[in-house]
Amino acid sequence: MKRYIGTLVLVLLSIAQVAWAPFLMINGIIVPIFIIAVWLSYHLIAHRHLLVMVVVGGFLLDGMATSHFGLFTFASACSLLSIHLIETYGIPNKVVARFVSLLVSILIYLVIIRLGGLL
Amino acid sequence: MIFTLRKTGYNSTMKRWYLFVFLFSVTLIAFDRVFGLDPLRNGIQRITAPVSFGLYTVGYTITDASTFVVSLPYVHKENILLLQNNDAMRAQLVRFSELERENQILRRELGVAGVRTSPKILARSMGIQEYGNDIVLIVDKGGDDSVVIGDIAIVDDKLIGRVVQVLPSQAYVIPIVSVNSKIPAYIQAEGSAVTNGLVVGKFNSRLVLSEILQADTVQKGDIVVSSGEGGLFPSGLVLGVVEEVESTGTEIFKSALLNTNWELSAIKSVFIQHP
Repeated sequence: MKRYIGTLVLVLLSIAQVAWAPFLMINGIIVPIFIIAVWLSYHLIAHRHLLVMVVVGGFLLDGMATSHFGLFTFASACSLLSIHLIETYGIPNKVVARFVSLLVSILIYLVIIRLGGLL
Repeated sequence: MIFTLRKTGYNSTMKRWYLFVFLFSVTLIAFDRVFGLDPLRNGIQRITAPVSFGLYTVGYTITDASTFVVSLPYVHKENILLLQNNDAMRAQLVRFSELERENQILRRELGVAGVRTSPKILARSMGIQEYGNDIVLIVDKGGDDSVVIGDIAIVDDKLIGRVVQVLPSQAYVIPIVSVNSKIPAYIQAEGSAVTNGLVVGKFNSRLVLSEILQADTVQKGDIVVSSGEGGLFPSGLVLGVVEEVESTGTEIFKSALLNTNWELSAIKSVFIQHP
């Protein structure tokens, strides 16, 4: 049940990231609420299920974007992988790892999206 | 990366899943680049559009209400200022009405046809998406509604942006505040020489009038309008009002920060028009 609700929430948030972007912009950068939601769900939902949800959400973001189709799916999956690697193997201190994983995942996501625009 | 994963004993099933996802997304990117996946994108948009529009309306209502509450302490002061501005505008309007009447008489006498205006299409805003370093405004009118690439988006004669991509049911407008936006412009000031410059976007949220000669006069409150040079945008559209002039005195050019008088978060709908 948890995974279905999680999927629904992440799907809605991926659409909300586009719909609420005008209200979530900081210095011209759109706050990736989808990635923040993925980060928040990391300890609540099984990793493999979260990966499927990320792909679904990324797919929807790609559908609403002007950049190359697949870029948001790729960026979202990379962000999830970075969260997993940092929290599992990267930093022993769990609290530090939690915050570092958030920063790194957002950074990876933004860099991929920006570089993808150059393709 | 693979070495690290193997070394740490990373779950092999997950490794395969990630590999599949990465290959899948890279294949999609390559496929979109070579053949284009617009039909798929259009299908997804038809499903997400109502949800996106609903969420946008919710976001707009919440922002609107919170802005109202926050601005309450300043309402009285702002109201007095607006009343003063209103009086000045009324006086200006009377002068312009006189000029318009004079213009019509002259046109009639000279046999010149009136100014042709292209039809406007009302489009609702549905959100914003990243586009490399830029941002794009998504609107709910597309090719089915005769929107074409190069059309302009305006609100009350204020230029908002230009259509850069069109799908059957949606179009993407690159706002003039986006970082790669450049518009030839001039300052509209009564009784003074024309000051030319180039309006460029800054941080996807502000406008700067750059390349103004040091000798040219620019002051706070000057209205900056598009000059129509280059042909991308028509002339006479309001871009912003000068807020602050930046000049070191040692450089050839000076620049001015502009206030657009609109924010992307406050735009509910725009008019799409052929330039």
